[in-house]
Amino acid sequence: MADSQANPDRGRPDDVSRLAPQVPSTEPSSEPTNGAAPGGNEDRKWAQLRSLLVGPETERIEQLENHPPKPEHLATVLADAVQRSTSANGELAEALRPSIEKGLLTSARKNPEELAEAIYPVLGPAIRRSIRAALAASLQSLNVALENSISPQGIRWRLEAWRTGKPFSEVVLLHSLEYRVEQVYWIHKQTGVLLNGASANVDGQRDPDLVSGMLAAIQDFVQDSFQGAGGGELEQIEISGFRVLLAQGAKSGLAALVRGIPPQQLSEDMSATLESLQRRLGNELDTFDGEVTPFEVAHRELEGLLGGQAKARGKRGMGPWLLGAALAGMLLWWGGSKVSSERLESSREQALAALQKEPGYWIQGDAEHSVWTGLRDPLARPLDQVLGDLEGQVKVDWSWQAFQSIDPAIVLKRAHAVLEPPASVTLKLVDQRLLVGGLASGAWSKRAAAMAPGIAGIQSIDWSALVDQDRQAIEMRSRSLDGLYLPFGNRSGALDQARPEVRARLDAIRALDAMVLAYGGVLRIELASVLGQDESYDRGLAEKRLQEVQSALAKLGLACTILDVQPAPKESAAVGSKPGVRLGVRALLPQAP
Amino acid sequence: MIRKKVCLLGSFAVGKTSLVRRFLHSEFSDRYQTTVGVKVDKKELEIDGQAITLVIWDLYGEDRWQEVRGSYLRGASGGFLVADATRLETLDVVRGLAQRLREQDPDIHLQVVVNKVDLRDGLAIPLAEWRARIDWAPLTFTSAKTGEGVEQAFDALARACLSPR
Ligand SMILES: Nc1nc2c(ncn2[C@@H]2O[C@H](COP(=O)(O)OP(=O)(O)OP(=O)(O)O)[C@@H](O)[C@H]2O)c(=O)[nH]1
Ligand SMILES: [Mg+2]
Repeated sequence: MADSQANPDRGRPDDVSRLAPQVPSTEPSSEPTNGAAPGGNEDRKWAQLRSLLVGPETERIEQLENHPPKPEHLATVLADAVQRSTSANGELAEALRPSIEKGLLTSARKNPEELAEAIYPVLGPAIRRSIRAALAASLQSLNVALENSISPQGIRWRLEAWRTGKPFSEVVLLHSLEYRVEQVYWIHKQTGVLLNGASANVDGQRDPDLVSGMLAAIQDFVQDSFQGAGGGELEQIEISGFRVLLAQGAKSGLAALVRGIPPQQLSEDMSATLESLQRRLGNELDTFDGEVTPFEVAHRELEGLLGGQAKARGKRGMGPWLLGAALAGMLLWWGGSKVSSERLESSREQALAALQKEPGYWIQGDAEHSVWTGLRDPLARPLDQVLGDLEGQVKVDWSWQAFQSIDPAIVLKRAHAVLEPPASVTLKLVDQRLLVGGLASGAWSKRAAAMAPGIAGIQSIDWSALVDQDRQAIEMRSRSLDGLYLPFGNRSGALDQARPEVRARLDAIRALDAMVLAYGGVLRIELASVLGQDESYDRGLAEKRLQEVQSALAKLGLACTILDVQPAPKESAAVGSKPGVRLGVRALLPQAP
Repeated sequence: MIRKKVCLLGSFAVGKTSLVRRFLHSEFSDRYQTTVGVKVDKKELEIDGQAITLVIWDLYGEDRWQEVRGSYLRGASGGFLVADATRLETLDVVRGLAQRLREQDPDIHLQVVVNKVDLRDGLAIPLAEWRARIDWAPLTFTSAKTGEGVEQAFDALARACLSPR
């Protein structure tokens, strides 16, 4: 062991000393020493090694770098590569996007027809759908205006809407627009040649070949007359007495000769027919050279466009009963959910219509939705009364808020509820003016007069036709009691209250007083003493009697005013006036309302 | 059933409308009513047992101020070019139109007619000279007034339209 220490390797201490100072300064890494000491020498060595090992491949790599792969080779892998990339992530699509967009733009600019032709089958239906949706929305608002009109005709249309499952508004439009499609042409666009046509049996038939040609000529004329002005293709031509509706496709067009004003639906049907024909006979259209036989298969479809007119006119076809039976049969046959959903919609339409014209209701909802919100006056008829069986059929979630309707029918109901008039009273409403008539107690009249102005929907009240039965009774009685006479015995100063006539007269006064009091009035009683013929002028006696009556009245709770002592009128001596006290009776009543 | 569009073209007043009337209705009138725009007519013919409907577009005549619209010519199988035997300048118009038609569709069938040949004394150049100058297309001498050559000319064009291109 010592030997080995004593004979150390020559280079070793050097090596150690060379390494020693470095050890602390470098991190204790396993970095190879040759890497720490690079030199041109080493690089060259590596290059030599590389060329020895992969020499021939380097050449090929260089070749590949300078010459891109041959298209044939790329073609075999490209499809696969694209597929993999597409299924992996969207990077490829993103990378290709700008080029594709640019390509499309260029194509659209250079060759718009081809592009249009390519996308027409896709865009055509989509565009029509959106137009139809917009139209439906506008029909919906029309609905509201029409729903309120009820006439025998309106009810018939409503029935038809129910039967056919169409919105009511559409049925109305269908009937109110009178039109007739007389002829339909399918025209090859470029040549203007008639591919096929159909015509209703009408007088003065126009030659379809000529019409097609002329239409094409007009179309050509318009197209290059207004090309710059953004004028696209004609949609309609009006010629005295009729109009020509046009549906334009890429290779062909449909034209319909129509009398009257056609509904929008006709244009839509035409476009749809044209699309389907162009799809079906696209090849024949592409290679068209005047041979029109292949297009004869379109005849049935073209005739279908004529069909609409007969129904609109209601002239041709089955009688209404037969039609009804046929429809009923169809309904039975259909059976399934279609019918029930149509039923549902039509019963909702009916319910809406019923609620819209029912006083005290304001409803928001439509046939397609099952949540309806509405305002309901508490005095309106209950829902089940308004809707009857419909209530169970509409399957709607109701959400009601209370409100006060000023519909006359409801205002009148409200007046009745608030005023509670007796049977003898009638209430009427004319332009928010409440007319009160008949016979009522004063108490009711007074209460009514106080309450009526606060009733919503009533602007003013007319009481002139109301007779106040209490007032009337008081006035009658006080008139009959006025001048009432309480007799006294001759020379007697005492009122004999046991005498039946005295008793009855005092009772009558008391009763009248009660009535007047109840009415809020005051009964005024005036006393005058009348001396008998043979009593000469005995003032003392007269006063005695007055006091006697006054105290008798006071006992009954009546106040009175003593007027005077009246001597027996001399002239009445012949008649023989009886001694006693005369009562003047007057009811002082508050002013009528 | 075959339908073909043919266009009648030529300078104004050469007799295009008169030729159509003669061909369709065997009528003639001395009155001149210039055609405004297009008048479309048709004639059903039978050529070698094959039914064909010629849809004839009678166009307004070209003059110094108005050229026939290109769009009217689109899709035509045949061009019926009319010159007036009494007016040599109508030949230039026919030549120009033939060129335009061929540019638009190199396969179009052309038929040239020199009309009003009944006016023997008024011929601009002798008929032989007309024939010599029109050696680039089938030519027929016609008179809408007498009916001479009219049917033959239309028949020839219809036949050409039926032949494969
Ligand atoms: N003598 C004679 N006159 C003719 C003949 N053809 C046409 N005409 C007359 O020529 C005139 C013009 O005839 P149109 O047929 O109207 O001529 P067009 O070429 O249709 O004229 P535009 O419509 O204006 O271009 C009329 O007065 C015709 O009567 C013919 O063969 N012989
Ligand atoms: Mg003319």
